[in-house]
Amino acid sequence: MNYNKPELLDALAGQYVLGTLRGLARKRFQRLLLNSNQAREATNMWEQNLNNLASAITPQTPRDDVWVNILQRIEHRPQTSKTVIHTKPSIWRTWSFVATAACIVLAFLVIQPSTNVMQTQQIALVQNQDKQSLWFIDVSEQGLSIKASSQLVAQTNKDYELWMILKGQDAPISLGLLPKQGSKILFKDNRFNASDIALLAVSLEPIGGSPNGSPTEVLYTTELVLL
Amino acid sequence: MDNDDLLPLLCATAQGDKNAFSSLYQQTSGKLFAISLNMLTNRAYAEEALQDAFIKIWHNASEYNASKGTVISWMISIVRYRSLDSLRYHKVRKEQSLGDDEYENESIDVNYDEETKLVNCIEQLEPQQKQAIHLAYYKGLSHSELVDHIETPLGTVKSWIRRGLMQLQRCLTL
Repeated sequence: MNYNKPELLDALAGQYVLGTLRGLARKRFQRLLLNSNQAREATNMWEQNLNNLASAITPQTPRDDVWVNILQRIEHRPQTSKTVIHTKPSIWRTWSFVATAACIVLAFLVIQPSTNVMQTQQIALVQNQDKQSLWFIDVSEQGLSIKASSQLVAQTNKDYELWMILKGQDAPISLGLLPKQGSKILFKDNRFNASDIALLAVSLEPIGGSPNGSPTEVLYTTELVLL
Repeated sequence: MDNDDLLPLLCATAQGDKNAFSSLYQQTSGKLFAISLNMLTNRAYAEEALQDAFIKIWHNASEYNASKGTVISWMISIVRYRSLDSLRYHKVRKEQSLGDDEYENESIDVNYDEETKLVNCIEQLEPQQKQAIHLAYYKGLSHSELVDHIETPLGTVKSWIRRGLMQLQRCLTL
């Protein structure tokens, strides 16, 4: 499909905002939004126009619990960005509050046993904003061995999904669901090449993982450390 | 909801001001919840979508800028996309009933409270085009759901939507 045609972009953006663009076509357009200024501009234009339709909807009051839950969730996780309002060149930089490599290595060495059956090639540590370690990721030829930390307090009605973001690309690639407790081995995507990976990210998802192939809510990012 | 009122609240939210975020919620949650409830027809799912949308607004407030339209339009988009995801996730209409009978009625009776250019342009569409766009926007119906709902072949429904949007765009740019 030739996305350079403005008429086509406008038509796709209109259907995207309306909601009738579904399935693979919607995913393709979401990927395009990450890379194409024209696609974003067309989408912004349709959002501004079509959302005027909402003026016909009579407000309804949600239960008080909703606000209580929102407060609880934001108090457990401070904002990832508190800068003044402006556009960021890359959405991933917004979420970058990455622990330093030295910190990762130190924490990993403290926690990991000295013997390791799999030949470790890279490691990563996912931490929350309070620097609590949540998952240890151990990359070998065979796959990604993930261990959930005892400090992890996982939401029971959600899943946590691991993503990789390749250098020069904004579209994340799913690596699979993280364990909420214990250990798990994830298949190594054939595009997984440590030197190409800019960041790993963890997102909060409905049970079963992302419904649309993109992260729903990115919680944490970290870097791979080569050994 | 005046943009001049909401913009300072969103700016303060971007700086981590929870009181401003609370005011933003108080001023907009009723509208956003109603939008989600119209689409999901289930209070629990709509409240979940509203909650997720406000978490996203809290985290992404700093990414808003004027090129994304008014603050309320930006927030409406967030809650609608989250509700569309939820619709797909729960595969609501085809595979299970959501059970909130009072919200099951899929008839649509639209009364605009603002005389915007869009409203004028919508009123110029063919009745079928207008109905299809209304059902897609307010109820989140897909092409195939529209086929079932208005008992019209898929090609015709797609054509109504495509032509309706093209005509809207022409009208809006005049």
